[in-house]
Amino acid sequence: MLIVDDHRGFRAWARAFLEAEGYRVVGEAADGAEAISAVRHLRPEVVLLDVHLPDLDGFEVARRLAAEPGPAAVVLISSRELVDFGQRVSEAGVHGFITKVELSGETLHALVGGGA
Amino acid sequence: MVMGMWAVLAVAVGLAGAALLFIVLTPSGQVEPLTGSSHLLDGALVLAFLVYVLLGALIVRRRPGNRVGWIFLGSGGGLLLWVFTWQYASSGLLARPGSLAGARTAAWISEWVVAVGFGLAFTFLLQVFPDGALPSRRWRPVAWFTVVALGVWLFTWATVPEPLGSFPQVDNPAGIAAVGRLDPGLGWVLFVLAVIASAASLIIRYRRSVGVERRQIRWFAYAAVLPAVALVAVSIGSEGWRPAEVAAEVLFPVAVAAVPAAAFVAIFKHDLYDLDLVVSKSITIGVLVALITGVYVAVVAGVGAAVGAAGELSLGLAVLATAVVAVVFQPVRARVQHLANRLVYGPQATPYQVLAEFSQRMGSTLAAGDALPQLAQFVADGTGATETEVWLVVGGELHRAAAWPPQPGRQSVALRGDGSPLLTGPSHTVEVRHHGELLGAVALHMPPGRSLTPTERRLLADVAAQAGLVLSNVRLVEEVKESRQRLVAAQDEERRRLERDLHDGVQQRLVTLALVLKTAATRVGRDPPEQVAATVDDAACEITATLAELRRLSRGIHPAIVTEGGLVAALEALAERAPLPVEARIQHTGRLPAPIEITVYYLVAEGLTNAAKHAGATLATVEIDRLDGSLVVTVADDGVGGALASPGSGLAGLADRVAALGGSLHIDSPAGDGTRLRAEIPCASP
Repeated sequence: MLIVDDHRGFRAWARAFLEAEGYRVVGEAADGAEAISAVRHLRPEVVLLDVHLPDLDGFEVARRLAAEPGPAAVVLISSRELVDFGQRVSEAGVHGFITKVELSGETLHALVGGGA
Repeated sequence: MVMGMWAVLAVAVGLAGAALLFIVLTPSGQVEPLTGSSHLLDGALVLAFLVYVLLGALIVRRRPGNRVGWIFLGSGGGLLLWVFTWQYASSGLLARPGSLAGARTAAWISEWVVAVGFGLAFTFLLQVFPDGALPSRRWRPVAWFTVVALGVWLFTWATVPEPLGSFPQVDNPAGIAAVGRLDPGLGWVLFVLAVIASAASLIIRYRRSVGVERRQIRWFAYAAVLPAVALVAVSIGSEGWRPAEVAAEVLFPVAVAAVPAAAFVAIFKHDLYDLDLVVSKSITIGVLVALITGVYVAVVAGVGAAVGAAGELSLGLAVLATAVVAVVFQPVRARVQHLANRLVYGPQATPYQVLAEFSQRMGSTLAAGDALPQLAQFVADGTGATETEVWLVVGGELHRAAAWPPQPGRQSVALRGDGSPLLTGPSHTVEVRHHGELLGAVALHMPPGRSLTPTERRLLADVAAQAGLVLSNVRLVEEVKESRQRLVAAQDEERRRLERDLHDGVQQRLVTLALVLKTAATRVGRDPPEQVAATVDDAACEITATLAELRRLSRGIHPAIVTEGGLVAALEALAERAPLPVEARIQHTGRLPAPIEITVYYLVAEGLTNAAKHAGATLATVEIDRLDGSLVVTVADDGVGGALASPGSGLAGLADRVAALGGSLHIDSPAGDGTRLRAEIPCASP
């Protein structure tokens, strides 16, 4: 799994938590460009992608990742709720959306499988 | 002078009336006509000379210092006296010999007074038209020559010791033997030369003139050629050459009529001497007097004849005539006034109507959406312009705020400070100022080949003077509207910023906190207790940071320290927390109204933030003083300068806040030389 979020604290604790839940986190990225580059090098199966990033937004990163060969499963995360984004999430062609406070091995498993 | 002028007019009308009476009463065939062609032409000449006098009186009344009016008056008077004395003498000496006393003296007067009439009209009038002065000092010799020529002409004709030219049966009663030795044609020749020189001076004046003056002179210059040619023809014709004699017979009356006719064109078509209002009223009064007289005569004579009381003025008829006049007077007056205005001003509204209506309408409207299109329409109505525009000065630019006919789009042009014309497209532009400050301009596009008459120029200047207040009001209203919009926009922006701060700060920290606690929960019973305790410690740290973040945010929403501790304590706290050294000189003001305290707090906070964040300053100073009922706040730094209250910026929002309190914010921030914010806020002493 690759964790993409611009808050270092969140990335660190998300990694610790998800590893405790049985996921293998292969890398972290702080913005959209770094995320695309990391996906090409690390080939993760799942990308946990924050909607708000300093350069590209999560929707745009998801669109570009979908064009990569053998695309990873993308799960959008945000501290906002799904309704705040209207139709954008359903139109983004991603595997799912989880608010950050709901993030857990269980919710992730329901969307992409894996975990402990 | 008014009474004197009426007396002059009465004498002139009396002379003309008497002359006409003699012409009508003299049996045809007994006396040759004065003009040599017909008695009808004699009558027409009398009316033309009366016009000289009336025109002279009008001009003298309006421009007493202008010689043109006096020359018309003197010339017309002399000519009327000439015709009258000639007719009187003809009647008393030829038609009914011995019937009139003083006929011989009248004959003598008619012999020389003609020199006064034609002498003035065909020489000095041409030399000083239209401004009453010679074209230049170099024409003075011509003027002196004219004085001499007219003097010789008048003197020799008055004193030649022979029978009178027109009345050979009368020996000149003032004959002087010595004059008889002079050439009898000398005075006439000098006069003709003076006329030719005078016509030349007018033509040269015309060629040198420009603009309105050129149009005013044009017809007069054409007319000036006629007397010169006519008099040369008269001179040659008197030598017996028949074609010249015939030409003189035609040209002379034409020249006599052409001079006042050309003056009329200059006065009424090209607004010479500002006679438009006088003439419009004169026409109205003249027509009304004629109408009343007509009705009176018709009723008294017509009805009187029908009932057999012709010639007697019965009380009943007088009452009937008065009643008819009373009933028709008002509607007829309005109609005649309208016609007179149309005659003088053409199809457009009179300047006075435009100004009156403009003042009335502008008094009751403040909205830019109404006032400026109306202003554009008024100017078009009053000047006959095909297109008018009203431009407003907004922030160093001219904006086209309204146009007539209405045009879409809001055009702008830069305002140049070099004194060059505001706008180059329109044919006329007049600036609108209020207390000397340039607020805008009114621009006109005139039809091709048509320019503004002096009356229209004055109207435009008057409208511009009144429009100053209107544009000032419109601008105030616009400024208030824009300031309100900026305040609403600033409020919206502030809410957006708050939402962003909550999302990026507190919310992220709480999300992380949830993750930390969930991690701790998964570690309980699985990892060593000290690791679980460390994770819970991390959660506590995250909570502490979140609280600090919340406190910072709530200070941004409303600085509680201002309301709780007062402005001075709040500013001291700001200075302490500032990321750069701050020298504060704060006069203890006591508690001030809350909106003022909050505004001052934000102003100082913004100034210090900018100094540290954008200006790279090493020191800032904050001063608070009271000065003449105002609170003066100064925040200065030694940074890079170049601060601007650009739209949407914090400084622009502060300027609006200060303006909302009736104060003003001055930003002095030259590049490389620090920034100085100085706000003055009205604040009554406690």
